[in-house]
Amino acid sequence: MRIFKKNILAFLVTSLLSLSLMAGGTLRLDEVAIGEADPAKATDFADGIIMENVYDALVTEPQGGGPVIGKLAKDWEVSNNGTTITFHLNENVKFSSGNNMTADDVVYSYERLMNLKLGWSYLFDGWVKGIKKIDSNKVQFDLNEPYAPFMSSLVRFYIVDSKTLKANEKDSDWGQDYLLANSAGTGAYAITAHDPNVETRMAKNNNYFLGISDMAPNEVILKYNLDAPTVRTLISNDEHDISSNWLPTDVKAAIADSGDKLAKVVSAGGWYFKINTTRAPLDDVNCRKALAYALDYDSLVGTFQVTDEIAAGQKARGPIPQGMIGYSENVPLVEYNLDKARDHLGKCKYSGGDLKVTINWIAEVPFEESWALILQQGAMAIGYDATVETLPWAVFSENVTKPETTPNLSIVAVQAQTPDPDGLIYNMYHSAAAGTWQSAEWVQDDKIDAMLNAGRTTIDGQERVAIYENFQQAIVDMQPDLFISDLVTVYAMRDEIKAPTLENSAEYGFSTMAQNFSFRLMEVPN
Amino acid sequence: MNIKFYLLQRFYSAIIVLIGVSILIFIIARIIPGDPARMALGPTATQEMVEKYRDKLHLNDPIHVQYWFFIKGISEGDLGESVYTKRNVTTDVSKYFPATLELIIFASLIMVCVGVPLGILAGRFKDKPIDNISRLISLLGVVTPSFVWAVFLMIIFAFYLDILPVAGRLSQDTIAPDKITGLIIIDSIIRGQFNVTVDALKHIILPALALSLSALGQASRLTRSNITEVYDKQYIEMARAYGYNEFKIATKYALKPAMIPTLTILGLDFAAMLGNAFLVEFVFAWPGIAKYGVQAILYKDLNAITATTMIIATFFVFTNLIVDLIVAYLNPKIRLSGIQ
Repeated sequence: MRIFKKNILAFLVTSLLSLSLMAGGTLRLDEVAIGEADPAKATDFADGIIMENVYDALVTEPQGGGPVIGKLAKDWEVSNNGTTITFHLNENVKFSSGNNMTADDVVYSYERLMNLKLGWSYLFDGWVKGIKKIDSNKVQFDLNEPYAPFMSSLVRFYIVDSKTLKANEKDSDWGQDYLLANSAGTGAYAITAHDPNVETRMAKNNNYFLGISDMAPNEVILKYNLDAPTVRTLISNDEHDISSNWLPTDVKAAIADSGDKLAKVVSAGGWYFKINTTRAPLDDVNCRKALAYALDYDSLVGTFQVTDEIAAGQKARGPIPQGMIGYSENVPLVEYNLDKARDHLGKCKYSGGDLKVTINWIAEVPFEESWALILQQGAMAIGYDATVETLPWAVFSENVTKPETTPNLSIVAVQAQTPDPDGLIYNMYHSAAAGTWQSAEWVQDDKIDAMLNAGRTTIDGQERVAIYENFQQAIVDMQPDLFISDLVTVYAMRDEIKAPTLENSAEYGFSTMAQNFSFRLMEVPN
Repeated sequence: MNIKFYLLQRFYSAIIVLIGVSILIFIIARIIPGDPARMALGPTATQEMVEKYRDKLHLNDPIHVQYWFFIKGISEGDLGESVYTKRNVTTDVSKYFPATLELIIFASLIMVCVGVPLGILAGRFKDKPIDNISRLISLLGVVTPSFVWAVFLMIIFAFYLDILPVAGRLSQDTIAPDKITGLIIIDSIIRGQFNVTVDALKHIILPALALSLSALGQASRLTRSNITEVYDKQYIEMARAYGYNEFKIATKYALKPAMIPTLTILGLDFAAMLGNAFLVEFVFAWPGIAKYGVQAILYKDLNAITATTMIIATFFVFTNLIVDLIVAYLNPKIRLSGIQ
């Protein structure tokens, strides 16, 4: 009997231990600060990671890409003229507070977003006439006119717990103070601690309406502004799991060499040499084309190589990256060709001493310097007097608000905020959007504006594809940028972590910024 | 009576200095290129949103009006909103200042407890092997920047030996004690959470060492130089002639006059650490005010820049006041000549 009891005890202990090993552990990752936890104020990558996990939107991008699918909304109807969209909400979805998600929350979330007028509110500003509750599970949007990017934009419209925020409002602040340290979402995770400059901690919501694996991390610690040697040391000591993309290439390679792994994600965006098309000599298209052919793209690509198998970049054909609507294989790749470069320079109205340009790189992004130097070398080979300068981000952001102070060339990465090309290219090339770091080209072209406007108001999918493909060619012809690379991000990861959205992004990933950091789709051993 | 008058005089000067610093940093922060409203709201914000935010920050008001709002805010304990963290700067400062204070206290303890005795030994045994070793350590400390020490210590103790942690104030599973002072080591001792004390001590060793080594080298060299000078004095020879032992001579007759210039420098180093700690804080992910201040500058966060600079300036001024008082206590000549 005693032996039997001992065996039972041993069996129970072993089973419990096995069960605990099957449960998810703590996931630790880092990003650049700050992490904004308020869905009405979020704009950046770290913010996107928090939003993806703590809040849900009406719709989401499917894994592997494609048109948006329902998330908090199970389906929707669009009127014939495309201006009324009625959403049927999923029932029995609960916020982390336990409150049910209803149409009242959707209406409140929208009113909150548009009253605060921060974050991603610009995606809807001027397009949405109104929102109304039809019944507790039905909500209707009325648009001023058909707006093709509307459904894609909704991936950035996160639904908040109106009851909780109203109960915690201070001085009619729409719950802003409450969300400085708490969350009010339906997401797979809820914030347990938040310091936007230090770390955000999130705990798993085991009652998440879409289900969540036992092996998904029980807790997530998102740290901000970790230094490269710190990340290297932490990963080697198994105290950190996923690095940010900003880790230097050689550190990523060292991590891969030591037995951990790298995950490569092709994102919807690109690295650009943005050319100020209003300043001489680059206000002449032939002078710009000359630089395009003088850029040694193979040397550029060489700087992307992290390991023999993984490169943190790929040649770009134009502003729209591979995999996004409007990308066209028919747009030829510009190749390094000094003869062609000189031909174009010969056609340029400037020559000799007028060919002075400054190539700016951002001080906070040291690896941009090598790209600037590669361009300088090519430019000088064909006769430009090219100087390389660095600018702190704050100074650069200030300088690009006026065409006369915007640098001749500046190196910037731009990423689509939504899975629609409009979310990438409108803010870069439309004349109404000029004067920001995204639009340092100062493109003031009626034809380009007309294409971008048509892309917004054309509902037919195939027509939109044609518009954006023509747009891609028009931009390449105009050459307001030198296209360095599609945006490829590489993350160092501990070998034990499984993250299919990062490790196999083509099949399981998303193009929407930060959506690949969906923690419930990851496995972290305990 | 004389001490009170001396104190009042120094306090009055400190206030004047701080007012001057506040005006200077207020103006300089607004000259730095960059639109704080645009930086805060991002490139997709409309001009209307930017102007609304500028109005909220009073950026469209004349500078003297902005300064008035700033002073009014300070008097109410409101340092304004940080455009970087989107929180009240008072909240940020209350979180980050204790972290840096704890770090510099420990760094200063190392500086004083290692640097000064090292300098005394070096001065006492001048030109002996111990003097040479001490001078080598001091020189290495002085010429090597703190962030180089930070990375070096991290590589040795965390990467290769894996015996000390490398990021943050506590391990991920350790919960900080409820705040009393904000200094985790002190708070955990008061609350009897000694496991937290040990964890916090383990986390502070490397950043405190990295931060202290430069000042330690300086303290050691200065002490050595002063001790050497004092030992050449005739009253030391007289003390030896009286038959006093070397320990008594060193601690009673040599140390006090030798420490006066050293104390002044130690005080300056202690106060300077508050601002100089930012690179160490970056390397060790230490959530301190120095790192916060640098990020505020990069993001042109006017309220945070002004608040951080004022805190550092206030700390500097009052630390020097305390050091001057200690020096005046040690050397009555200084106290009396100051009053005259």
